[in-house]
This record gives sequence, structure tokens and C-alpha cells, in this order.
Amino acid sequence: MKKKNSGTIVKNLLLSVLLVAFLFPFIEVIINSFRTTQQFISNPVSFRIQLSLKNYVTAYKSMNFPTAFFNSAVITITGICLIILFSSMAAYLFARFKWRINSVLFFIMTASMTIPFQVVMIPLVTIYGSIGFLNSRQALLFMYLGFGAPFAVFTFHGFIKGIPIALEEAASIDGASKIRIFFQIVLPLLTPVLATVIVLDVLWLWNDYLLPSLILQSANLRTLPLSTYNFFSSYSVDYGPLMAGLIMTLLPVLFLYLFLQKYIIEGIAAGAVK
Amino acid sequence: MKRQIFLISGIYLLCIFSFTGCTKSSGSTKSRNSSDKEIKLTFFNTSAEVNNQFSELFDVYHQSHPNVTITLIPTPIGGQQIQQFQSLIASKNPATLANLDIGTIYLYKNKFMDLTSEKDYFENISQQDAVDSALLDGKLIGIPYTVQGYGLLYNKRVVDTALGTTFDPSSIKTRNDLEALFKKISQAGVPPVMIHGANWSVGAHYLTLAYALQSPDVAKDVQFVTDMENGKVDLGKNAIYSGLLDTFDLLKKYNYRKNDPLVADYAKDCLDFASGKVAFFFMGDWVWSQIGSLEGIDREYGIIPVPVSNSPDDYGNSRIPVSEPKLFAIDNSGSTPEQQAAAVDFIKWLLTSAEGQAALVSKMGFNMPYKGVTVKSDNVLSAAVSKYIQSGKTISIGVMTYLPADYYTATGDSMLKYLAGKTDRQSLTNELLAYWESVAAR
Amino acid sequence: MVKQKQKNIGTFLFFGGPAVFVFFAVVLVPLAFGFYLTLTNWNMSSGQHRFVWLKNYKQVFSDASYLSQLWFTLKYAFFSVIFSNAGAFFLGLSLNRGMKGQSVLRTGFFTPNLIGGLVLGYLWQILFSQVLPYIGRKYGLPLFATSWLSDTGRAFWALVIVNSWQLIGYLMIVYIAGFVNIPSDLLEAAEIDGAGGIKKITSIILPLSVSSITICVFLALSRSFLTYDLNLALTNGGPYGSTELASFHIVQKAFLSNQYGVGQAEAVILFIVVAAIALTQSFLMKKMEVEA
Repeated sequence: MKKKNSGTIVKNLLLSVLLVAFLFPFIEVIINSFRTTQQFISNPVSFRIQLSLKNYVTAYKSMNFPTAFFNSAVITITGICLIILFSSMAAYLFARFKWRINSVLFFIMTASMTIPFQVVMIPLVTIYGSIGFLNSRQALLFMYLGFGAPFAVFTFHGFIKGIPIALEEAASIDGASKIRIFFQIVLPLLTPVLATVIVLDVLWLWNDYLLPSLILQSANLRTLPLSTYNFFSSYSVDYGPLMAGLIMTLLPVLFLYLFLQKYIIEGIAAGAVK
Repeated sequence: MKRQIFLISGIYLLCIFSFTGCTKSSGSTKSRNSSDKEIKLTFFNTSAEVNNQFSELFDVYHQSHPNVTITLIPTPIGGQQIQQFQSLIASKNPATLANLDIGTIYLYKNKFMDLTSEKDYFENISQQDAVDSALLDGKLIGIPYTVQGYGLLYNKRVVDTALGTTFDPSSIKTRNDLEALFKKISQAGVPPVMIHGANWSVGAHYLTLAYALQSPDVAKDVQFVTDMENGKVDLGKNAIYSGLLDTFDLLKKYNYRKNDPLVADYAKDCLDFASGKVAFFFMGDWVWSQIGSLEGIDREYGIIPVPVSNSPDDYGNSRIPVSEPKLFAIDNSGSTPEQQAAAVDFIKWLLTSAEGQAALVSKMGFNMPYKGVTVKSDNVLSAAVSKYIQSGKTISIGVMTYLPADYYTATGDSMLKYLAGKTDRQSLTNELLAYWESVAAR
Repeated sequence: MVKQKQKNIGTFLFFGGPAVFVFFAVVLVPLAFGFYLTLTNWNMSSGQHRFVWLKNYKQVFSDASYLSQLWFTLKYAFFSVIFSNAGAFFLGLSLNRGMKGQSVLRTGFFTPNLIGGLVLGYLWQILFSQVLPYIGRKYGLPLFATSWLSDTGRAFWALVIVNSWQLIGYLMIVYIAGFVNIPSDLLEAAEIDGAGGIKKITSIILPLSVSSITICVFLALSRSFLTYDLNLALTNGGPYGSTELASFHIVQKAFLSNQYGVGQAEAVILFIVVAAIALTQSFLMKKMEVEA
């Protein structure tokens, strides 16, 4: 017993030290969001805490925070719903129906995750620009579904494979339709993975800069990352307000992650996996 | 259970329909303007540091011209600006007005309006050579609005203190003069000079002098570069190139950043210069936008040319390289005649009205090469450069406009290797020639 | 039989229809179009469209720096995959025991992912080029006396470190979700049989985590090959262009030096290389998966 305790203490200590090292840049952002840019440049290492909210006010105003926040929220939430719904369905199809076409499509989708965005950027904008399908939230969401599907399908596919097929077979014998089997049996079992994909995709959509900058050209459609980049200028960065803007941008996602963490655990405790 | 299926299918169908039913062409301003008096323009701005000032200015313009609304398209830094610009063109939704690098305008000159018919108008209101320096292949496609110069900036207080007497900038006419000066400053315990170890500073600004100084005639400079591409130049034996690099060796020797020359933190270097940690800084008057609003820094600066030889009368030893780095261009690939006319009006207002000049000069810190600008700027560095412009002691670096877009990253990287001591003069020369010859093969 | 076929088509369209359609429209069609463009001399500024067939590809292979950068990228991806997966696996294990403060720790390790790639890169850039040298000079640590980013070798490791740092939190979540699926009675049974910590890991957890490992290795590989923002912000290809990863090099070529055809051709080649590696890896590992 004693041996186990000291081992655990050492391990806890190690983890805590590692955690601090991990969080160091994050701590830097918090501390420096309260200092002016000039102070930061002349001494990046200072740990002296001062609590001036000047940067936050500047950032809030020049980022047009409420509008940007609303835009980011709409895009992220809608995007997530679309990706989760359609990708889980496609993943179910690919995992359970062993047709040739399914393996081929799954292969292509998975392979496409290796395509750098810059490669399709110009053709994408050229094609959709010529049919006038740009500068709208619908266009952006359409593209996010297309780009987000491969990863989601890939992840769901792997986990569906790990679910015992016996449950579905039993339901099928009982006369349940495929749709019913999917929504009532398979989907609930995917809960841990759903949470995982949601968190990862939320981060992607919430922080994405490049695609929105190309698609959304009107000022009133601008998302948070687009407005945060106001603080970058030709040669250097206005660090003070930038850090404040960053904190304001990441707080919602942090809360979401904390919230979902609980949900993952709850889902398991409810005995979903068996 | 049945309800669930209906619900899911309903959402499903709704999604599909909402996509197919939606082809909003909200980006295009064309259809809206055919019958309205309201004119909407967009302004693509690559001077990212003054995005807010431009936005405010457009609001001011709207007050006095209520039927014209101009919206800013801000851009991120560096290479991504080009990506965004290209994306706008590819999507056939170009910005009506664009504030772009002169090189970019030249590359895309077919997409912009030829304003040569207005050349006389602009020549009348601008200072000498301002319009000429902005011509591309003889045509007026971009309108100049700011002129910049670079060289060896110096902090007056630091230099005077180190020398124990007031420094006379005209006393530095040759490399030997400069060396003696650096020695004296160094002996006083002050770091004499700082090189900013970025490829654009040593490649685009410093090394370009090797081409720009070949002749005061830009066409001849361009010919020199073409000769290099065709392997006709023995660069190592070129007196101007060797002289320029000899001076670079001098700067290297007394470089404040000698221990780690490639760190190149622009904000830090500017701050150190403004706080008096070093006497001279090879950079340009745009430094002011970085230091002008800082607290507790020195306020008196000057500039001297980079001497490339030991004969005081050689071309360049007493002249400052100046350029009009960015210009305003008007789109001609998708804008309506009404939009174009409104854009021209806006530019004229910007350059001649009190509010326009106030914005450009005092709010944005530009140095307008125009006559009758009453607004006073507090940009000390521009004032120093202007003295050289007014006495005609300038070097045109127009050759830069005609060089390939990646020339400063490639040649700049070679210069950085040299700066860090990783290559010697011969290897540097070979690398440069190899680059130019590869350009010919493209 | 016909009815079955119709049913199958219906099933396919219902479940797979939307995702596959949008995927085609947004990814494959532009990709094909982009590939077509590499066979022409199309250029953003000139807008011409003349077939030059394989000229762009020939130019790619005659560019000596392209091959060395590809190799550089491969090395970078290799080390990133190893460090990030090892770290994420063990962190996931440690934070799955139900210990006190576990949620806090999990959140903590995940935070690097909350900040977008570009800004993260700039923060680390300041760390490596200003903060660490300051500390290094103050306490006389030669390893940190000059900026790690001024030297190609150390800049390489800086890239690997930051990339792994960001990946670990991300992969850790995937691993934890996988561990959750391991039936606890198996683990209990093993404990009763007297198996110690390490034995449990190697005989039970590891084999049952193969699907997680497959996913994570694949994710780490593709993310590493696609690194752009981090490269731009942390090193900007420096010192003197020696740390340009593949994506960065492509952007430089295609957009900045306006050689669109060559840049796009390089991208096509990169895609083929990465796809080959990634798919071989997941194919091999899928064979090792244990179907529950």
C-alpha cells in the first residue's frame, strides 16, 4: 500500500510540473494581455501582474466583438451540426455495408485529409466565384461540411467498427429499419466519440482564419479570427490588444470543453457502453 | 419513434433545400448599381497598420458624399495579402480600389485602369518626379501617395554624446569616413550600428542598391539585371557591387546584433534604436509608425546615405534611395464606369482635400510627394528624408518594380547567410548569379 | 433482387448522399481542376490557358531545394508523430485513473489547442528568440545563449517541439475516448491474475487501443505534413530559407513567386507522397485491429 502511495505522489508531481511547462505560453498570454505592447517588447519575461483593462477595451471596440462573436457562433454551431449529422451517417454506411463503392469512397475521403488547403484554394474560389456562390454564410458552411466530413467520417468509422454488431443484428431481426437502428442504437453508442469530434471541430471552426477570409468579404459577416488579425500590421504585431482579443476569443471554447468533459464522463457512467 | 424519423428527415431535407435554394450573389455590387444613384466601392488595403484610419476616413468621405459608400477590405500580413488579392480576382469580385505594392500592380497591370489621361492633372499637383517614379512601362496605372527613403538612420542624441560634439552628417562622404566614425563611436562605448537581419531588409533594400546604382537611368538598371540573368555579368568584378559589399562588411563588423544577427525582431530593434541603445540603424523612415507613439524615447533623428566607395563624387555616396512603395490603383476587370469614376474622384479628394491630407499625413504618417500640403507631420525621419528629396539628392530604386516577386527572399537569404558568417564573398556572388540565371529559365 | 438493389441505392443515398456530394463538390472537383491547371501555363496575372503538359513537373524535379525540403518535411513529420503519440498515450493513461483533479489536468494539457496556429507560432517565436536567450545569457546556459531559430538544426527541433506540444493535447482526447471503450472487467481480471502495471499496458490496453493508435498516428502524420501556420509564424522558413516545410514552400512558389503551375505541381506530388505513406500506415494497422 505504501509503495503505491509514494509512486502516485511522484507521478502527480511530475504531471503538475509538466502541466506548468505546458501552460507556460498560455500564462504568457494572460499576463501580457494586461500590459502594453511597449512593455511587452522591452521585457517579455516579466511576471509582475498589473491589472489594466485598457487592452480589453481597445480589443473589444476594434474587433467589433459582439458582431464577430455572433458570426463565429452561428458558423460554428451550424457547421458542427451539419458535419456531425451527415458524417456519422456516412461513416455508418461505410462501416456496416461492405460494398465496393463504400470502400472506394472511404479510401478517397481518408486520403483527402492529406491535401493541404492551399492546393485547392484558388481553384475553389475560382469555381465558386464564377457561379456567384461566395460571400455568404451558406457558402462557408457548405465548404466546411465538405472539408470537415473526411476527418469526422474517418473517426466515426473507426469507432463504429469497435461496436459489437450483435446489437444491430438483434434489432434487425426484431424488424427495425436501418434508419431506426442507426438513430436509436448506433448513434447513442457513439457519444464519447461525438464529444471528441465536437470539441476538435469546434476548435477548428472557431479559430479558422484562412477560409473565412477568402469567402466572407462583407464586414458584417466577419468572424472572431478575422477581426483579431486586425492587430497584425505589415512589420509587427500590436501584442497588448492582440492578447486581450485572444483571451476573449478562447474563453467560450474553454467553457465548452470543460462542459463537454463532464458529459463524456456522464455518458460513460450512464452505462452507454456495453 | 415515427416522430423521430420525421424530425430527422425533416432536418435533413431542410438542409439540402437551404443549400440548393441559396445562391446569394451578395458579393457582387454590379447588379445593384445599374439603376441607383448609390455607388458602393471597396478598398483593398495592404497597409495593414492603418486599417482603422482608412475606415474612419471613408466615414468622413461619406458625410460629404452621401451617395458613395466605401468599404474597407483589410488584409493580414505578408504573403497572405497576395493570396487574398488573388482570391478576389479569381472569384471575379475584384475590389474597386486597391492600395498595393508597386510590384504587384505591375504584375497585374492588365486588371487595372489606365489613368494616363489624367497624368497632367496629377503632375500639376505633385512634386517633381513623383508621377514619373510611379509610371509602369510609361503608363500611369497607380497613383502615388507616399514616398519613403532608407539608409543609415541615426539617433542624434546618441551620436552627439558619443562624439562629444554635434555631428555633421555631410561630413560622411566615403566609406573611410564612415569607418572612422564607427570607430570613434565604438570607443565611446556605444554600439555604432544595427543591421536588421531580415531577408527583406538586406535583400530588398540593401542589395538592390547594387542594381540601382549601376546608373541613374532605371532602364539601364533593368538591363543590368537582364544581363545577369543571361550570364553576361561578372558580378564579382563589378565595382559598385564590390564596394557595396565592402561597406556591408563594415556594418557587419560593428553590428550591435553581432552575436545573433538573424533574430530580426522588428519591434525590438526599433525600440532599441529609439531608446538610444545603438547609434545608427540601417532602415527607412517607416520606422516612425513603429516608434512615434512610444513613450520615453528619443525624438531627434537624422539619416545619412550608405557610402559604397571612397571617392566622394561617386554616384550614390551622397544620395538617399527613395521610392513610392505603394500606389492606389483602380480596378478595370469587373467594375462599372460609375464605380471607376467615383473611385477617381475619391483619390483626387484624398490627395487634395484638407481632411484627406490630414488623414494621410498626421493620422497615417505618410510623406505625401504633393505640393501645398499644409498639414504638418511629426514624423522626424520623413523630414530628414525630405531634405534629400528637396535638394534632388535621391537614388531611384525603380528597378525593383521589374524584378521577380521572390527576388528579395532568395537573394536576401543568401545575404543573411553571409551576414551570419556561413558563406564567404565568392560563394555569395555565385549564389546570387545562380538565382538570376534560374529566373531566366522560368 | 431488383427490389434489394433499389433498397441499397436508397440506403446509400440517404446515409451517404449529402456528405459524399458536398465532399466531391468542395474537395475533389477543385482538386481535379487544380490538377488540370498544372498541365497548363495558367497564371493568376496572365489568365492564359495553354497546355504545357509535363513542363511544370519537370521544373519541380530540377529544383534541387524541393527534394531537400521534402526530406526535411519527412524528418519533421516522423519525429512529430513519435513524440506526440508517445506523450499523448502516456498522458491519456495517467489521466484515466480517476485521480483527483483529473479534469483540470486534462483541460490544462488541452489548452494549446485553444489558440490558433498562427498566434501560437508567434508566441513560441518570442519564447525561442527573446525569452530563452535572455534566460540563457543570465544563467550562463550555452544551449540557450542564442536564439534556437538562428540555426537550422535547432530551428528544426523547435518546429518539432511546438508541433508535438500542440498535438499532444489533441491526440490525448482521442486516446482517452479509446481507453474508455476497454472493458474494465478485462482489466480487473488481469489484476486478479496478478498482472502489474506494465503487463496490463502491453497485453491488454495496447492491443485494444490499436484503432486509436491508427487514428492518432494518421492524424499526427497528416497534420504534420500540412503544417503551414506554425512554419510561417515560428520560423518563416528561416534562417535563410532552410526550414521551409513542404506546404510553406508550395505557397511561396505558387503565390509569392507567381509560379502557380510549378507550385500546384509540387502540391500534387506532396499529396501523392503523403497519401501513400498515410494509407500504407493505416492499412497495416487496420489489419492489427481487434474487432470487438
